[in-house]
Amino acid sequence: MNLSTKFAIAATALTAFIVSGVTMLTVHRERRMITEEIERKGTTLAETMAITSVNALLSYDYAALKRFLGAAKRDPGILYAMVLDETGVIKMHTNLREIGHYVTDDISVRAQDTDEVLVQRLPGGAGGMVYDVAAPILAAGRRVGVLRLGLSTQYLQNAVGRSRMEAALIGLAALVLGISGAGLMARRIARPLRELVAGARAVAQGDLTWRAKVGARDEVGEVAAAFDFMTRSLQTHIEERVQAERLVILGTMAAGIAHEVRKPLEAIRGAAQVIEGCGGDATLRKFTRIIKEEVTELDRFLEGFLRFARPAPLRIESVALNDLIEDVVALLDPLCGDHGVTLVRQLDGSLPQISADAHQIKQVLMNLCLNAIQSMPDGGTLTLMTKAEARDGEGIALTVRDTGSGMNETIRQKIFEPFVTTKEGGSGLGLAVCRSIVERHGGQIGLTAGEAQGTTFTVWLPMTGGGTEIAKQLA
Amino acid sequence: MGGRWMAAAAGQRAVNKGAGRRASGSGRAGLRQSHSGTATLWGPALRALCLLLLLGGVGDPSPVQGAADQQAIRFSYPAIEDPTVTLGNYRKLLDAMAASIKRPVTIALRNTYGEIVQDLQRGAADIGIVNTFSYVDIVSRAKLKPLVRRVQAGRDYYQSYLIVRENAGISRYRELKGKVIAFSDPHSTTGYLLPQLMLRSHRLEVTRDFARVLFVGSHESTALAVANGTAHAGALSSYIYEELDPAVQAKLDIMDLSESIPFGPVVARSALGEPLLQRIRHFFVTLGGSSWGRSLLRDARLSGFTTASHEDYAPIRGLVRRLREAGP
Repeated sequence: MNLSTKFAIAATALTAFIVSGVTMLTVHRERRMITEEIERKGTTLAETMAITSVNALLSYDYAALKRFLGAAKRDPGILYAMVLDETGVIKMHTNLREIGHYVTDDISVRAQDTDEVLVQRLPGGAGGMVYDVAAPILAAGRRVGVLRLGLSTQYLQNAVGRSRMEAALIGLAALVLGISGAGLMARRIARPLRELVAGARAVAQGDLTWRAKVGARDEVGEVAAAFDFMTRSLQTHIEERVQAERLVILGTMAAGIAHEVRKPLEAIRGAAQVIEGCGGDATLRKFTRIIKEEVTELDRFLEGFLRFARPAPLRIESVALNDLIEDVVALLDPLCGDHGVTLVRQLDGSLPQISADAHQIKQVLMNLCLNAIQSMPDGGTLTLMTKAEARDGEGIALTVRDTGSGMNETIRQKIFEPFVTTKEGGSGLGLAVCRSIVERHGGQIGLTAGEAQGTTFTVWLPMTGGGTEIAKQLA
Repeated sequence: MGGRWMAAAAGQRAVNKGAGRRASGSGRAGLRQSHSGTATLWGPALRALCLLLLLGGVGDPSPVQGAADQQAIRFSYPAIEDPTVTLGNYRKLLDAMAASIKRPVTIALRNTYGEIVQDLQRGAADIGIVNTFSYVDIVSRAKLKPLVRRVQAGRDYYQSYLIVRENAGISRYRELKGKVIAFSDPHSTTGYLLPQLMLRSHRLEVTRDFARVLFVGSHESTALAVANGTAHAGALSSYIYEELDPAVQAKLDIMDLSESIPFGPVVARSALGEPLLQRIRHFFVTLGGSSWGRSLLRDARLSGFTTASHEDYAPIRGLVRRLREAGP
């Protein structure tokens, strides 16, 4: 049984329960009220009619009595009305066949003897009751007759029946509305759940880019958001794991390559130095120098490759990002002066400290700033900006903006991949290392898209380490 | 005195309900021969008056009447039936009549014949419905003109029925002695005056030979008083008897019935002017000639109207004289 059906059944049962309860309560209350009303009405009517019947009875104006009782009989709740003399003979009755009869039954005897209004109940037809209301007809304090009214509970039952029917119709309408509403509600709830089921299947088949399209701000929306978060986390973890595995392989390869390459390089460098020490003509010295420079360049590349492939473990401490920026700026200030670059700082002084590896974050800063300075050979403005910004939790956003030549869209798409560079002679590992460091901190690094001129990098770092590695260390 | 009426009634003595109808049928011939007599009942008369007033207003008012035409026509009728019902039934007719004759109509509801007679005599009413005996009494004292007389169930006459309770063991006049007897009204033609003569013809005096004499106000009450055992016997109009509920009729036996007498007339003051009276009379008697008129007649449970004249009631004067001679 699916959720919609269960929901519809529950809503129907609940509606039926409430409607039947309200109906029973209403009918019971109405029955009691009408019963009281019928007694009150009968008593009042009988008393009044007894008073107004005196003259007609005493003056034998039976035609007037006939009209009088006939008028009362028009009330649908009145079964009969009669006037009896003091001996118990029916002088007038709404059923004219009854006139002249002498009444002897118990009800009539009690009614005949009463000195005040007497209400008696006797069985009526179809399971109903009849209220026989007797009022003495008094003349000068002497009882000269009795007026009796028969009020039918059938009328009451009909009224209650009508009420019950109305209540049933209202209940039926409520039930239909309830079922319809429940069905709609169930479908509304089930639809996003079905989407989540489809999403779970897609994720299970490897599509980690699937995202729930649920905008509701209810529990279902929370489930969808949690599902999306789970998918994103899974995607991140998998990517991190793949990256880590790659790096392990790469590190192993790098170590092997470094070991295998550095030894011959050292041999080449030593041989070049030996040749250089042996003297020789200018041509020989020139080539010897070239050999030594290329060996040094190759060695530097190997160093960078090793750093990328086998990053140093994070040493997490409490770090003030603005202070790190100031340290980097102090180092770069002379270089900026050489390149005619104006350095602008827009730092939020109220930023809290974050958990990070100060050395590696400084390395990121340095790398981004050097790239920026190098992209402005004819001078420009380098802007460093910090501010608090919440993404996946609280964090700090660092913006590095230059006014250099910028880069085309193709380069932008791949700029963080290893061995991609816009600089002649660049290794293409700097930004890849930056991304590695930032992501290992649980942060994000990105490039502002669509810039006509210059480049803006944004680094976002969580307040407390969001990355797996930091979490492990904090733990 | 009223020989044809009495002759018509002779041989009609019967003591069962069916006999009453048979007697009425045989009395019709007498009526046609004489066209005279005196007696009336209020219910049909009232309906007749209303029809009269409605139809009488059709046509232009007489120029001779002048300013008097603008005065309200006042008519007086008895509250025999439920007044609210009566007013409800006839108000529209009277309004239509008033609009038709371009004169307002005022209504005066009266409890007794005597009050209506007084209204007519002192000029407080212009038109009134009177019973047969009242008409015979007042014509000598007031200048009133009979206009029309109703025809009901094809007859323009009626009778008095002397009734007893079913299975009461009373079938002869002598068995009434010492019993309780009910009448409607001391002024009622068929409800008291004629029965009084019937009893006297069998040597029974109302004031002497009965244990109690009840005047119960109306013919229907008389029937009901007998039916419910209040009285052993009673007298009422044949017309009222025929309209009784069958359940009540079933409790009654007709012991005897009187000679036939014409229904009481609708009378009007001569001061209204002969042209207006003639116009009213004309339209009244020709009512049955149109489907609209027949519809009104059906509603009033009437067959039609016939012209009433002073001479029609000449035989009734003999009855009145007999009653006066016999004393109260």
